[in-house]
Amino acid sequence: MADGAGSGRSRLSALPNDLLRHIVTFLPVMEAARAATLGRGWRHLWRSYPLVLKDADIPERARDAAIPRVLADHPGHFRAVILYDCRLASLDRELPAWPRLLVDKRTEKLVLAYSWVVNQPNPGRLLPADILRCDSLQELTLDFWTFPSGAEVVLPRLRILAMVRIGISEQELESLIAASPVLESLRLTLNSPKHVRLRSQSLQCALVGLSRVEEFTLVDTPLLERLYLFLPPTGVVGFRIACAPNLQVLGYLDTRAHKLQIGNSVIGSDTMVSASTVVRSVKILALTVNFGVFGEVKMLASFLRCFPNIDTLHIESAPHDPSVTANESSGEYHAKFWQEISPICCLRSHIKKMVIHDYRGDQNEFEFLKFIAMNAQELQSLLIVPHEGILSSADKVNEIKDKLQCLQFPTGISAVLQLSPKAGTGLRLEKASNLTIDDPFEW
Amino acid sequence: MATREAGKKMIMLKSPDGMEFEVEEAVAMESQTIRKMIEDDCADTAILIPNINSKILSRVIEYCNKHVPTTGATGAAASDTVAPAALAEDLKIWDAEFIKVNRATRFDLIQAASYLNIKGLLDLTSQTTIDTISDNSLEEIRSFLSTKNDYLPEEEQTIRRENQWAFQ
Repeated sequence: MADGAGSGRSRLSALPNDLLRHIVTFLPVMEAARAATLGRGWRHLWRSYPLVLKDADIPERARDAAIPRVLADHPGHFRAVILYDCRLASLDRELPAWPRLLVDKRTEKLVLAYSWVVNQPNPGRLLPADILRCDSLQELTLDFWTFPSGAEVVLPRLRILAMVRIGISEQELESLIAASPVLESLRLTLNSPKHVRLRSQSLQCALVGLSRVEEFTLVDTPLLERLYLFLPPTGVVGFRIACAPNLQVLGYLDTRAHKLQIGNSVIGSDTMVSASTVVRSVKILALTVNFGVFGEVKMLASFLRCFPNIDTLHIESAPHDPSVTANESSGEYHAKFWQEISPICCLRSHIKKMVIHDYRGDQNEFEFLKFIAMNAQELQSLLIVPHEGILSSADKVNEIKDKLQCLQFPTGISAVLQLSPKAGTGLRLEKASNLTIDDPFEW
Repeated sequence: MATREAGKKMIMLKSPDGMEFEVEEAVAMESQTIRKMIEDDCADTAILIPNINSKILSRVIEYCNKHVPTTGATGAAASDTVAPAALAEDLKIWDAEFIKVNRATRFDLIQAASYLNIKGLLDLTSQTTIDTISDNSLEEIRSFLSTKNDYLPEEEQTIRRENQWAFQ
């Protein structure tokens, strides 16, 4: 039942006028503007509050006309202008000065995106340079643009920046970040630079999609707490940690796709640990490994040695490509490797919590679990999240359960099998960028 | 500002119908109105909250209890007591359950949130109210608001023309 019906105290109109006005500001912009015809008292209402304009609130056929009108009619300031389907042609035609207007009306949050097209023309549209001088901006999301080369950048209040499918030079990307002195959160996905170097005195959280990147370096990021890597490339990407003394949450490191370099040392599967090859600040680490490939298993051990202080470890078991694993060594070979390996510090004395994602129940995976059970002296919980394909087979699930029951841990715990599905990528990125969530790899 | 670990300072809130609620200072300070009273040192003994009965006040305290930030997002204390990954989504689900109340209660909560200046609660109650009316025609909304259409017909035409984009 709607709020109008009813009597006395439960009528909407019984609320004080200023509260009613406040409530009306929660209307989507079209309806708020229509409310101007309610009566004289409402005529300028939607203009008298900061604007929150989302194109998704406006029917698609009306957007070309409505969006330029709203931007022109509202006196400012603009709290948020969110155009997921930014129609450049109609904006340029109806309101040629729209980029300047966004600056003048003190826009705080701006999303200029493009509805996703798989076979998009390349490159993206030219971003109006005025946007980069919008000094009121606190949050900026750009999707599918070409960066205006040589543009002056002034973003003194920008805290959150997302760049998706942006044509930009390596130098310009670095300058953009350097020109954002209070930037806290950065997301980079499918942009053009092949070499990405992060330098920021303020950055706390970075989400980086690596599929088109060849080299990624944390050059100098003293406040960076979290680095979330996604979209691993089909080839190999160099990932170098030069200076990130506050890095606490890192993943997913990929034993196949990432050539890890700490300081000046490239971490290989036979690298000996030294003071210069460890990152002591990392507490939560996530790794992707294909347990079917012996080289990756050896790399897993090497990676673990680089992070002696982790207390939470997530391991994602990558899909086994039959063509790669056909000639691979048997489970016995893996068992022998894990029996003979020298102790891994973080496993022995730090890791309290461990999650294996996409567990398939293969012998090679199980050999690793046996190694954990033998060595993890501090482990308080081990959660096994099976691969989706496993869940449909009750036999397979029972077989995994039986095997897990054989494991005996020094701390007396038992492995727990989780049988609920996992979140999609979109939700995972949202989670990863939220610093109030301590462990972004958990779901 | 007092932290929760530092002895958990307690504050007494009194409703006009004589009920007393002992709450942590940090929880009470979710209300900007109460925060100001505390900061101005007007809160030695008990704070009387006028116009908000005990039933509504207890719901408001329940809300503030749930929404008070946990100490230090990176500190060990927080991760021991709450499941961090679920926190943000948990809150949304919790909010949706919390606001499943009858209209009279919701309107009381709006007024309480406004008086006590608790932005999250005011946003939640306002948004819920808007969701219940926004599918209605202007004529219906006008009647809910008890507003009279005091435009002359030609004026109304002008207003419609001014905002033509919104009537498509």
